[in-house]
Amino acid sequence: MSTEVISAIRAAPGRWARVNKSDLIITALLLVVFLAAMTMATEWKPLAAYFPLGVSALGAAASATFLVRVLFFPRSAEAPKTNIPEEARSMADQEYEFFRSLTTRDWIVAVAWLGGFYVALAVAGIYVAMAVFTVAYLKLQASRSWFFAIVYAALLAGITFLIFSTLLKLPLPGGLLGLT
Amino acid sequence: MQKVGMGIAALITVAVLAGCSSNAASGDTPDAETSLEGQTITLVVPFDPGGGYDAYARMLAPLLGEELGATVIVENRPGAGGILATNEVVNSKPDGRTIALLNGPGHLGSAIAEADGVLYDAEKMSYIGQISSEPDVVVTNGGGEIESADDMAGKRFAATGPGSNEYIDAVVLNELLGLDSEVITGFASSNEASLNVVQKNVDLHSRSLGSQLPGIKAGDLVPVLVIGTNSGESEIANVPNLLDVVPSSSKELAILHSALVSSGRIIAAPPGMDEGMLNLLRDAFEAAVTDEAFQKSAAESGRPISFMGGADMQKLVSGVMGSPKAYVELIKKAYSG
Amino acid sequence: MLDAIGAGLAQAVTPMSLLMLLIGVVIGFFVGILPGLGGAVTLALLIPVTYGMDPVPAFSLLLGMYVVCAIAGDFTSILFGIPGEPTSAAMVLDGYPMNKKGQAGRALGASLSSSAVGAIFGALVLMALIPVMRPLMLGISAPELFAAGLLGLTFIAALSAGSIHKGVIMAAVGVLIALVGIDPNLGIPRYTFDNLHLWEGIGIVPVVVGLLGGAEVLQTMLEKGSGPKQTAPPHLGGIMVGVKDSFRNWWLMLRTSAIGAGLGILPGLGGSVSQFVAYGHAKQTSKHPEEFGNGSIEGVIAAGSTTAAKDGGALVPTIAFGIPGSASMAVLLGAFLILGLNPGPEMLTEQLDVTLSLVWIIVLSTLVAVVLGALLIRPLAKLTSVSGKLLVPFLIAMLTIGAFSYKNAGEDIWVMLAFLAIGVVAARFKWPRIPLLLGLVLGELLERYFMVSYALFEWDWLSRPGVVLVEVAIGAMILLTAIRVARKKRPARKVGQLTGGLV
Repeated sequence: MSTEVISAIRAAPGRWARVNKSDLIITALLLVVFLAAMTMATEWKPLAAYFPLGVSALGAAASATFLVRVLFFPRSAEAPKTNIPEEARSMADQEYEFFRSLTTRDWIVAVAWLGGFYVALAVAGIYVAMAVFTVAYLKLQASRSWFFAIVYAALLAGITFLIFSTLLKLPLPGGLLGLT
Repeated sequence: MQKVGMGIAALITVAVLAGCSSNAASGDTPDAETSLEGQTITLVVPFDPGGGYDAYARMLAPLLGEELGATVIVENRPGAGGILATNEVVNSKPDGRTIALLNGPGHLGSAIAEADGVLYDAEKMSYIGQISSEPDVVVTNGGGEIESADDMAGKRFAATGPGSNEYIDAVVLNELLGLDSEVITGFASSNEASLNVVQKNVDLHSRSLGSQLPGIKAGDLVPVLVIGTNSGESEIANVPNLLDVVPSSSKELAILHSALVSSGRIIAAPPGMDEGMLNLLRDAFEAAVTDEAFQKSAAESGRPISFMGGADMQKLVSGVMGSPKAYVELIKKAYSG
Repeated sequence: MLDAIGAGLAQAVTPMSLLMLLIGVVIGFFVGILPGLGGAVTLALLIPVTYGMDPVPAFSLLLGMYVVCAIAGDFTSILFGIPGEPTSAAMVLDGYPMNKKGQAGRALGASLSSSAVGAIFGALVLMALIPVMRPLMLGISAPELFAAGLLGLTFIAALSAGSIHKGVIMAAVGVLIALVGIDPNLGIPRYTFDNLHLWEGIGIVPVVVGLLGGAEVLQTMLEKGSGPKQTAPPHLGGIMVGVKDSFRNWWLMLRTSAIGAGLGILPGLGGSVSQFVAYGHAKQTSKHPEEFGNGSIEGVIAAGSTTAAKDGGALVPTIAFGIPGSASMAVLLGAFLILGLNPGPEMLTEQLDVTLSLVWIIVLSTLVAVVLGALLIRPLAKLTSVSGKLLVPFLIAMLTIGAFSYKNAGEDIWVMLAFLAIGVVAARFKWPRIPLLLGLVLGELLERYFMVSYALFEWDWLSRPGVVLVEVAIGAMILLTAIRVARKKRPARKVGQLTGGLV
């Protein structure tokens, strides 16, 4: 970013506050992706490169103009508080509000649980991952009894085994240990 | 912070559990015995369900299982024109529990051409045998414009993409017969390329006899040239063979290419398999495939069986892999697009 | 023709055929509900069962199973916000919001009845086209497919309410993702980063499942409190309301069925494109476009009927020339050959009764599916009153197995997780997700068929009749949209805060 641009932004301090920072970062990131895709495409033979070049150029142009719009013509930062009842608000708004309301702790919890499941999957395969995750999650997050959690886990793994291994004879991810 | 703690605790629990089971699993490796009784054997098909390879694999699986007293399950692992699955099979244990059904021309062609992604030595794999072999047939539409191999000059071939069997055929014919024909690529499937021949958008298309037969029978397609051994179907009985029309200077290359095409559909296992296990599999395969009732029902469903033993197959592979430079160059060209 | 219709029916209602049909429908229902399964894989597994059967009972099993998969896939979309089949992504957009509003019963009822109408419509199209099938297919080549893809692309605007600018960017991302893999013309690997698994391209199932389902799973995980996840109690009595809703919108149902059947005929296009075209069309022509994405019954009806209608159309190229339009149709084609049938003129003359029995099988299996579905709606809708957290292990297993089973590839699980992350970021910062999906399903198609069109015809293809037809349609659509936008400019700004939804 050149110094003129920065000073232009500084010249209107009110505007900078209204710039949507998330859009700014995402668009800048995508612009980089499009430019990288374009650079990679220039190395291919023409017949394989035309279309990727065109698409990444279009994407880059669209992100660049959007970046300008986000930076220099920001809309009012947040939608004004309305008294629209919860169920009448749009799904995207509800979803947006929901994710916005999450704390850092919420995010860490979610990522830790998901991460735990997929690490277990990568190491020990789907059945172990499913059983361990189910028992742990139901016990700790949903505060259910051991009995309930174990029965649920057994049913989930059992039905999966029945469908995939016994009836359809289809493979399932076995992890590094190949436990399927 | 309680929930964070729990999440992390869960992660650790999982890791510990995984560690325990890892020790347990590595402790009891069963002794290698020359029997597969009661075992589960995976027959890997490197293509999507629905094609000829899948059909042959699913026909063979129950019979082979019966012969070995084992359960044979078919697993589709499409990707990179079959190279992906072959790489994986080559790296799995040669314990007889992983075998694959390979596309002979594609498998050997990409090995000769040293195509991108090939991480194995085709000659070192353990070959169990051949289940089918059919010639490729070049067809045109019913327009009557192309009647002999000479008429093919300057016409347009349809093909899915470089490295596909149909593209290799077109490139080889171009070279051997001096056709100077264009190859139009990019069709989403072999069937789509075929439809464009019927629509007269392109003139020529080469693929296996089994795939061409329905179109020939329906009168939409007319066969003009056979590549490989003519298996005796009445529809192609009077169609000239590549070996008949090729100039004598290119005869050697034509014979090599016919051998490549007739390598057909191969059952193979990872390299380094011990003699006893390999013979067990070869014998079971032979018994299954030479069963008369099986051959009959297979032929009726449009999937004729053509058996070749593992030892012969191994020789064929060595022969093709030791091709002279001229042929290697030709195949490389067919892979570079 | 009339006696062939009768003969076809007679063969389709023999006890053996009906038994096979029933088994097929039951299997179809269960595999359809699981993402990643269903379609080609299950068909391939069922083929050995049909060895030695007569053609009609065999097809009762196969086609019965296949037709029902699409209908059942919509159930998963409505109940869990995870598409049960790649063709059920559009159903998530309104079906799931309806569920969240406590109208799961109504949405399921509407989806079931519109699917039934769509399937029967598709079957009738198949029957009506029998005399002209072969000449019709001779006129469809790469240029027509390219034009149809272009038509799909014009729906980006309709599918990215909120910010069209963001929609275009996301669509470009989707097209780039579609380009990953071996290029169709020269065989060069593009954007594969030396990873062999990316050669075949990035599959639609792991992307759809991760992008749409991931954010829902995360939301379910983090929902505060452990009470029912809905704001309102489940409204089970709404099933009939949903059925009535769909018939009140009969004209929409017929139009979207026609879109499904029409695009289904084009080999290679298929349901993953037509669902968005139909959904976009419904939104553009609706009196309440602002409800789309927020639980619009019209959106549910459009998605339901178009998905079910595609199968009748998709059989046209398979029967007429033995050209399968999709992986599933390729497996069915294999079944034709095994059963001793030769796709081509024979199917339209000597074997006409078999062809017509296929029409009947679609109709009958749809009717059976409706009955079965109606029986299952109540227990299934009750699932939505279960505490969200209890569903989490089940949902995660479904996402994972769905992504894996598509190609039996562990790598697809990582692809799914990557798109899960993209989906969550998009939801958190209000970036539309559907244009990315649209770009993904159209990207490869547009490039491939443009290149083939040019190689075959240079620029002459622009004046082919089918292409001109689509060009006119695109022009008319752009004009109509421009007029609407101009007329509604001011009210639209105010409604702006209400529009959006997932799209």
